[in-house]
Amino acid sequence: MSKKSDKTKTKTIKVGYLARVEGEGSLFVKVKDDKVEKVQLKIFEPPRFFEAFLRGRSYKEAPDITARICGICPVAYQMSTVHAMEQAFGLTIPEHIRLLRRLIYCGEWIESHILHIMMLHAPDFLRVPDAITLAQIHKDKVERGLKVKKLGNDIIAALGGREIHPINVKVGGFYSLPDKAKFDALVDRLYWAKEATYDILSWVSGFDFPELSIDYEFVSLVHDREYPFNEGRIASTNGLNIPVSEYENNFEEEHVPHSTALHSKRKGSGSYLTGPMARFVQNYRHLTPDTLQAVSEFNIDKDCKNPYRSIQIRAIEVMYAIEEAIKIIKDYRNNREPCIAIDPRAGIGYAVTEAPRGCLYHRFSINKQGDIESAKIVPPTSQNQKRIEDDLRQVIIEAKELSEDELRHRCEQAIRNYDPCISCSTHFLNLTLEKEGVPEHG
Amino acid sequence: MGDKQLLLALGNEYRSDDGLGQVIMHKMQQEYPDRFKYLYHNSDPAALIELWVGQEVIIIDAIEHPERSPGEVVRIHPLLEKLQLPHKQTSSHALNIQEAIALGEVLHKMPKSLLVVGAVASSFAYGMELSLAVRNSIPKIIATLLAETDKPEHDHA
Repeated sequence: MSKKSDKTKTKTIKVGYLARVEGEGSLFVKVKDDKVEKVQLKIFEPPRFFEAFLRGRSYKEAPDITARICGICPVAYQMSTVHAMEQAFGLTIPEHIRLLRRLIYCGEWIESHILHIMMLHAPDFLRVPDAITLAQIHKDKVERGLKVKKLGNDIIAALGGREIHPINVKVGGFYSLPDKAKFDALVDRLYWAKEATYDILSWVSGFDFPELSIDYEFVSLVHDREYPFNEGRIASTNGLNIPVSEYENNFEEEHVPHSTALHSKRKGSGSYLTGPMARFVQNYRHLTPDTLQAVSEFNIDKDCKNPYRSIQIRAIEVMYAIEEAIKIIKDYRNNREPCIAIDPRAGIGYAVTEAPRGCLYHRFSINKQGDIESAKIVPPTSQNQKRIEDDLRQVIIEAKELSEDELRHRCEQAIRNYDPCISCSTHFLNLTLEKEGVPEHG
Repeated sequence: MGDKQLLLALGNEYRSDDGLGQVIMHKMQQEYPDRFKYLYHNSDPAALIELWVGQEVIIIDAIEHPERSPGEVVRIHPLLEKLQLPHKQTSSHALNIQEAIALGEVLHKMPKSLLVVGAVASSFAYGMELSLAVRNSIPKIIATLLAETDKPEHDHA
């Protein structure tokens, strides 16, 4: 739908919704005399309901409740929850549980990243409207992708009890641990998936990536020994390096007039990017030799600043997660304690873990009975929302010669670079592009 | 009678009427544990096609339908009727049944049969309470589901 006012020379375009991103929000863009005057995005609804819902409930209930915040990344919510609780109780988990938590996170990265690569992001690059059309054209590739994704789900199910909203995760460890044979049955499929993911990486590396370089402040966990999932310090490419307990002293959420959602920013600074690109740039040295070789082979810049290339980095992270899963499964032994004893005490616990989409912050205040007095949850999509707006400004400036249809497509693609959470957010994104004094192209 | 039908509950119990699928499934599991295979799903459509392939499936869910009244029980055969099912407005499981069906057709991962049974929702706001209209629809939905198992060949598709 398009209409043009003769008086104001303002052009407004509306599209029904931004497919493949569920969001009840909208994107409003106003361009005047070749300058981007306004970019207003609202796609994300933070989990304030859950923060309130958790108050007064036992710490034992929290992992199963927070898992319901997101259908795509329940493990991330569970992991941030249990680590924050354990910090509040002054607990340190044993190494075998630490590794199993990495393993279940591997499953989630595999299934979430492959979903995004194959079903949500690849259609943008191939200029097809959706995954169904993609499957008609590249049936074998989609089938292979879904097979890799299923493996991620099966890792979660093997350890979590079921693939959607795992029920085996608890503060202190797991309710029970599977027999080694259950894990070993996955190994051949993991080796196959490593090769299949290499092929997927090769395929996406041939896409036509729009030229764009953005001077991001990347924020992620960093770890001195391994690619981070659950542990480490929060670091940024602008020199930040803090323990996770310092998150709220360095980041803040602000109300913006055009949205009910809160926008995160660095205190005293501005937007930042969390997610695969930030993790990769700050932690690539911890990737496996084979994964690093793929980075080199496909010319992925270790200081990558082009958000369209995030699709390659997701594929790299899938390769890494598969190799990490193989390593953990090979070292797994039966007859270990599934969890440590919990002795609740009053305290405040903090955690940041690396959800597929980036840093997921939790803070819980617990009383001496082990009941939750307050909860704060800041998901990665909430943190990236301001950054997406800033990206869109630059995208629109650099793509202003495109036709409006092309520009609309480019804006949608730029938003999908972030893999905004399709479950935490609500539905329908209306895109309104308003141009004043700008000749019509195309 | 062959394999049991798969009762596939969709929706999010924290989004008011979107919790209908789980409420129905829990009631059915308690009262008729052997009548169906039961499964709850709250993730993406791509995973849905893996769950339903080759099975006789009944999906239970809250339905968004602008032309029908809240609480009205809806029974749809998507494979036969090729209906444009209403798109859920605030689903937190991102389900788009049309997409799942279309993807399943392309990839040859279709259920043997598919029936959608639900009630028209009144609210998808955050909260764990079903609306009165949707609560009142529960006995009729359960009766509809039981009637399906009484059919000799599960002939709903």
